[in-house]
Amino acid sequence: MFTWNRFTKISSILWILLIFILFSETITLLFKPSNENWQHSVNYVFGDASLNTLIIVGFSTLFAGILGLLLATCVSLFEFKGRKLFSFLFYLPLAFPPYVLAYFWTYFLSYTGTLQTILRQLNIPYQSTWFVVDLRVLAIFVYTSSLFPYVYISSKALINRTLGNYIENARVLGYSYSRIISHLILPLSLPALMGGGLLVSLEVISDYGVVSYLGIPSFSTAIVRSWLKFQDFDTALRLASLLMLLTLFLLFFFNYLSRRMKNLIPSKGRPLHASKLNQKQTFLLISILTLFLFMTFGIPLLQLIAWSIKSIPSIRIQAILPNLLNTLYLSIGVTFIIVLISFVLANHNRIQKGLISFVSSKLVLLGYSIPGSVIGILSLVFFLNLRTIFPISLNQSLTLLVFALIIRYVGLSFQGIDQGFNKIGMRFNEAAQVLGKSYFNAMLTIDLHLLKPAILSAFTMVFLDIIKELPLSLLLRPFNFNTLATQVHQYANDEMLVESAFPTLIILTLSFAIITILIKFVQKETT
Amino acid sequence: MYLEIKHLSFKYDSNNIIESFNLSAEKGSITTIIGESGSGKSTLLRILAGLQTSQKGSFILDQQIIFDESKSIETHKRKIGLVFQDYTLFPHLTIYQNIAFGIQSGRDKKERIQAILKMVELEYETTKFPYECSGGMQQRVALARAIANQPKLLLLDEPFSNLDQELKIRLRDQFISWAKQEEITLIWVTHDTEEAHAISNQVIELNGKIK
Repeated sequence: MFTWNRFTKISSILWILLIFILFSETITLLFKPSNENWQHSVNYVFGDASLNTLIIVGFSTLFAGILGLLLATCVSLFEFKGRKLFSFLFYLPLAFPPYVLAYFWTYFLSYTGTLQTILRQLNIPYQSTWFVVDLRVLAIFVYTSSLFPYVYISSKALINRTLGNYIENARVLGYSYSRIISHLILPLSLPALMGGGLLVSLEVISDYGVVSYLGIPSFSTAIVRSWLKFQDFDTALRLASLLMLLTLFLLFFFNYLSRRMKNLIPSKGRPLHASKLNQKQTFLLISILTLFLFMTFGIPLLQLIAWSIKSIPSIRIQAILPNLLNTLYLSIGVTFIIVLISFVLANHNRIQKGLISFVSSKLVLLGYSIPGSVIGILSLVFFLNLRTIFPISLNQSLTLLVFALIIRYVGLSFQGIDQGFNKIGMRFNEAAQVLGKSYFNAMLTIDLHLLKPAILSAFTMVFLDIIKELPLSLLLRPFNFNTLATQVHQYANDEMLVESAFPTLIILTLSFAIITILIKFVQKETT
Repeated sequence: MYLEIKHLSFKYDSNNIIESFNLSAEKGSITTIIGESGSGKSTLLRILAGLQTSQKGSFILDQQIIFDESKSIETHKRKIGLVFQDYTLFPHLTIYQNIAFGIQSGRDKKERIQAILKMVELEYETTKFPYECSGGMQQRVALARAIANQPKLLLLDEPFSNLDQELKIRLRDQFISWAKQEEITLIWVTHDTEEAHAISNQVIELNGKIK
C-alpha cells in the first residue's frame, strides 16, 4: 500500500541520490589532469582570491555578529518609546540586496557622488583622498550592514524567550547592564550567534554581485570569469570544487562549535521583562539607534527614492514590467516548490528516525552552504549528462534555473520547517490519532495549523533570497530572460545607477511587504 | 473477558521496561496502574494506544485482536482513547471544536456534543480557546473530548495530577460517574496509591517491571 510514510521515505532516497550524482562530478574532477589555465589560476589567482575571501568572510561575520547581538540586546533588555518600531526596522536591511549597497556606497563616496558634492556646495574644505576606502573594507561594511539581521533575529528570539530569569537574577545580585551583557548575554547567546553567524558567512561566500562590482578578486568572481569570459569550464569547475571544500570546512567548524555550546542553551527559561529607561537614557539610546539605521539603511534608501523620482521621465514600463513578472513568477513558483519539498523531507525526518533521514537531513543543507556559482556549474553539468540519457535539451531552458534554485535554497526552508516540527513535537498529532485520525489526516488538520509560522518564515526567507538572487540567474537564465536583479546588475555595470534605482525600489518594496506580513502574522499567532 | 493482554514485553536500549505483562478486565471496569517514575506506566498506555510498538505479546479488546505477533491495528482504527497528562488540547481550536474533533459526521453529532458539554458543565464556554481556560476547565475538555469519541477503552495518564486536591477529587468523582454511565472501560495510571484503591476494581503495582 502506498502510504505517506513510504512516500516521504522514497522522496528522501531520491534526494540523497540526486545530491550524490550532482556533487560526485566535482570530487572526481580534482583527481584528473588539468589544463594550462588551471595552472595560471593556481599561480596568480588562487592566492589573492583565498586571502580576500577569508578576510571579507571573517570580518563581515565578526562585525555582523557584534552588531546583531548588540541591537537585539538593546531592544530586548530596555523598554523605551519606539522600541517596537526599532525592533521591526532592524529586520528590514535584510531586504537590501548587498550588491545594490555596493553600487550605492561606491557612488556616494566618489568625487561626483552625493557626499563630496554636498561638501563642495557648502564650501567645506576637504581632501578627496579622505573618501578613498579600501575596497575590501567597503565590501565588509556592505555585507555587515545588510546581513546583521540574521544574527539579530536569532539572538533576539533567544534573549526574549529564555534569558529572562537569568537576567533578573543577575540584576538582583547587583550586576550592572554592561556586566549583564558581557558576563551573561554574550556567553549565553553564543549558540544563537553561531547560527546567525553561519548564515552570514555562507551568504558572503556565495555572493557574487558585491565583489564583482567592486573588482575584488575572490573565488566567486574567478569562477564566473573562467566560465563566462574564458569559456573554460574545467577551470571553473575546479575552482568551484575548492570553494566547496572551503565551505564544507566552515560548515563543520560551525557545527563543531555549536555542538560544544549545546549545553549553553537553557532548557527552560522565562520570557524577559524589559527595564524602563529614564528620559535621558531613552534619548541617548534612540539617538544611537536612529543614527545607526540612518547610516546603514536610511541614506541608501533615500538616495534610491531620489534617483527613482529623477528617473521617472525615462522609465520605460515595458522594459520593467516583463522583468517584474519574471521575478514574481520565478520567486513565488520556486519558493512554493522548495517549501513543498522541504516539508516532505522534514516530515520523513520527523516520523522515521534512521540512517536515511539522517543522511538526507544533512545533505539537504549542502546546497545552501555552497555558493550559487558552484551550484550553477554543477546543475549545468548534471543537465548536460542527463542529455546523454534522455534526448531532451533542457540546459537552455528555465528548467535548469529552477532546478538550480531548488538545490540551492531547499536547505534554508528545510531548516525552518524541521525546527517547526521539533517545536510542536508529536504530541498533538498523537492526540489526534487516538481520536481516530490517521497520521496524514492529523498532520493536515492539526500540525499544518501549528506549523503555519514556521512555514511562512521558511517561505519568506527563501522568497527574500530568490527575489534578489544574482549568480544563478546570471549564469543559467535562458536567452532574453531577465529578472529585476539581473536588470539592476546590468544597469549598474553600465554605470546607469539612476536607471537602476526604480527596479531596485520594486525589489525592496516586495521584500518589505513580505517581511511585514511575516512579522504581523507571527505576532498574531504568538498572541 | 472484554479486555485481555497476554505476555506483553517492551525493551528500550536492551533494558526490559515491561516484561511478560498480563491483564484481564471486564467491560465498564476500572483498572489502576501505580508505580514510580520510569517504571513503564506511560509506555504501557502508549503501547495499548498504538503510539509505540511492543516487541512481544497480544492484546484483545471486545473480541477483536488489536495486536499480536502477526498483526497490529493502526492507532486511529483502534477506538481506544487516551487522555494525556498535559491534556494536549489543540491550541487553535475552540472548546467545541476540540470536543467535536474525533466525532464522525452524522445526524446526531450536534446533539451528542451538546449532551457531553452539558455533562462536563461547559455548555456556555464553547467558543473559548484552551489558552483562555483554567486548568480545571482544560481537564474537563480533555476528558470530554476522549469520551465524545465513544472509545471501547479509555486510557488515562495521571489525568488530574496538575490540579489542586479539592478540584482533583471533585472532577475525578464526576468523571467516574460519567464513565460508568457510558459503560467505558478505564485503565488509569496514577502515582497516588490511596486514590488507586479508592476508585478501581483492580490495582497493579509496578516497580520497574510489570510481571
